[in-house]
Amino acid sequence: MPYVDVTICAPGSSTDCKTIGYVLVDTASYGLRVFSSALGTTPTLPKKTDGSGRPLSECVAFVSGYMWGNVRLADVKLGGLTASSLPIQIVADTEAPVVPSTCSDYGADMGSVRRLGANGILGIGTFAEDLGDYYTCTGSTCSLQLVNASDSVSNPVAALLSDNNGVILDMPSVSATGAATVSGSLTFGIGTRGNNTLGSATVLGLDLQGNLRTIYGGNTLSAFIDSGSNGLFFDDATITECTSGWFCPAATVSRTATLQAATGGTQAAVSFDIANANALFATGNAAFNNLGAPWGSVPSQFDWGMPFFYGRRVYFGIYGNTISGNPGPFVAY
Amino acid sequence: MKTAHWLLVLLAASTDLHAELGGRPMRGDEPGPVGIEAMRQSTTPAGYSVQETETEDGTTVREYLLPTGEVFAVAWSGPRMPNLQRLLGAYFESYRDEAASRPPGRRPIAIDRSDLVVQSGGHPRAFHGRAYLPQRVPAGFSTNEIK
Repeated sequence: MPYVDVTICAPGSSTDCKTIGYVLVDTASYGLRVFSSALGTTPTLPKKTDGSGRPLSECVAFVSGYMWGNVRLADVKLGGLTASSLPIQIVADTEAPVVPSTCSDYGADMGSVRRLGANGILGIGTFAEDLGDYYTCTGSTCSLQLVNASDSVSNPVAALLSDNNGVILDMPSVSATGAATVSGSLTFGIGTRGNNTLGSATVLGLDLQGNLRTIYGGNTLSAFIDSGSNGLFFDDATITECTSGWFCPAATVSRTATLQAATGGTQAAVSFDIANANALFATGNAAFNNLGAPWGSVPSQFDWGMPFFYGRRVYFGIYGNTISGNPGPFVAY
Repeated sequence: MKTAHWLLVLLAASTDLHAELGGRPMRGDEPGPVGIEAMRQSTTPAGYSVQETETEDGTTVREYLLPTGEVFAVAWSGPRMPNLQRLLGAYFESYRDEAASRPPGRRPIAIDRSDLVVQSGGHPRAFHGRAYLPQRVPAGFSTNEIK
């Protein structure tokens, strides 16, 4: 999984700060979430309050479960740029109220470093707002609140004063047996400086859910490009699955798919391999460009996870921006 | 008109029951982060009916009902995750435990048992999934219709 260091400071302070490592870079969620245990006692981050001065807590749902915690304000420093007084979620905040049942009803509690496999999530996808559930609580009684977009946990990139229209995730290639670690770059802004131009990249427009299309095996599927997924997830009955749930063909298989804009039109072919997952894991490596598993649900989808990113420079244009004539949300590479 | 009348009878009858897989469908007055935009119900020639609930933000929940009113399947899609405890009822714990046992990383969750099938996937702003009780599915009904 791709990680970055994120420096968090008390609003307006240049000294009450902490740099948190192993924060997951996620191109399919929105907003910064940090575990209270990783943050510790400093910096001192004020609680975000609603118009009546009541502290806001947030519940955010993922497929794998929910995260619950207080909303606090922080200056978030990203590669020399700062998102000032940004609402972020402090997950498992020791001062957070007891999780309300309407939150735990989403599934498993993701509120630990062990469960997430990271100290937090840097959600830098193609929208600003996170669509979380916001609550104010009195004692253990919490009630849902409607909050303004500006008060909600939101994509830190969109809150930067410059270079705020998107990001570029640039990862080097890995070999067919993977790599133990790989270093890439996360660039803020698209077409705002000499080093972040779109160039000749193919631009694929997304829908308002952040999805595009993938044509695979004769079917046109809804699809998404996601650094938070550690494999390629798609259905292909011709590839053997092993008991671990991953694809385990006896010999590596090659496949091609066509990525297409959400509304059709622009498209680009993608070739990829699927290797035997058991053999990949036996290498002890962690970064693979050929790891896959069945999607396993109806309707079938195609989840282009981290293997897609190796050897590519992938652009994510945020909704509300038009970059070189291309309206966000879009993905380009 | 006939369908709407039937729905009213159903709502009255289910006042004390929770909406859930294996139980009664949703009533539409359950508290949630987003209001209910519309509820629709249609009956198919195959004898089962589908109750569709759409929230204001476009998240859709479909509940598949036997003629007795029992929910034998549910499906959801949209920008927000629905209340899965409410949808899955007695089967929610199975889903939660399966999700909790997964290694880190975003990937679909699947349960494939003789008495329960659950499939859930997607990402924030684009969730979808479905669940059904294989032993309660009506004869001649294709589970591919659950979506």
